Amino acid sequence: MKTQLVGFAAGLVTVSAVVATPASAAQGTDDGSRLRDRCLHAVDRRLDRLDRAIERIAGARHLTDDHRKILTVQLKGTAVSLTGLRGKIASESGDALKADCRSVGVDHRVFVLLVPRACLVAAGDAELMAVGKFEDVAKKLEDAIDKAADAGRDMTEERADLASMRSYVESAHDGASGIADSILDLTPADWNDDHTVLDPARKAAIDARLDLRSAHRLAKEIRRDLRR
Amino acid sequence: MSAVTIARRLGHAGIAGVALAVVLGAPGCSARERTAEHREPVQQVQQAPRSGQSLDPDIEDGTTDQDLAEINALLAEVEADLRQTDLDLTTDEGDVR
Repeated sequence: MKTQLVGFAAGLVTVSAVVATPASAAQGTDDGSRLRDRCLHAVDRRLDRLDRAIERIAGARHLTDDHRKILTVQLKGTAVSLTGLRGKIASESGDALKADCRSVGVDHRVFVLLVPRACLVAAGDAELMAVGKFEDVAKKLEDAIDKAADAGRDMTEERADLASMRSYVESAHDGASGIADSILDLTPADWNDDHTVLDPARKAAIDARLDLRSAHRLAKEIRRDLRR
Repeated sequence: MSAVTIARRLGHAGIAGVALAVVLGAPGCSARERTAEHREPVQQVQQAPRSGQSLDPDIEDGTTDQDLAEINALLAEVEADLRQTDLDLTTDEGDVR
């Protein structure tokens, strides 16, 4: 009797295993398929963003030629790498699929490093171009102030405003001139080690922008005073 | 038709013709004149000095305004780049594991 019960139990286990195997296998296949779909979607999102960034960099008038070249190589190189990965992912499964899926984000860092870096370099170069224009404006305003003073007008306040304007422009120059060099060589591995690697450059660009806005406001005030 | 009737008809035609010629020849009736009239006020506006603008050519320097407008455009581009940077940095990298 005992032997019969053991045999019955063993039979049940066997039947369960046979019945369960196709279902588990199907679930495994579903997981692989779902993972592959998620990976391909992740690649496509990045390729789309890279396309737009490459277009933006190509049309940015104020970027220096060197910076445009470096950024374009970085963006296009990443697009080529992701396109290659896309081809592999489409035909992979198991651990190889998982490794390549992980690589899409971790080894490329499109959203948190590559594209924001391009924007920050473009912003820094535009700020430096604005600094150059402000130097011309300061000279013209100084000439106009001198002529107004020669004509007998009290220009004390305007001279003080001009000095403040030049100080803001100098501060913007100091901040913006280091942006590109501080971030152009960063790699995805650098970001993986330290998620704040772009923060100093971002802060420098924001501060320089504020300085330039202040300088712009002062220049307009001086112009308005000269017209009175 | 009597000579008197003919004379009257010629008289009416003459008056109508003269009236028509006056109307057609009046200032503003030809296309060229109408165009000129339309343009005239614009030319006057362009020539008029803007309010608050100094007429002293030594002090007045329109190129400074142009420089400031160009700087403003550059700063607008900087602000667009900084906004885009923030958007990208807050995009979920969504590492697939």
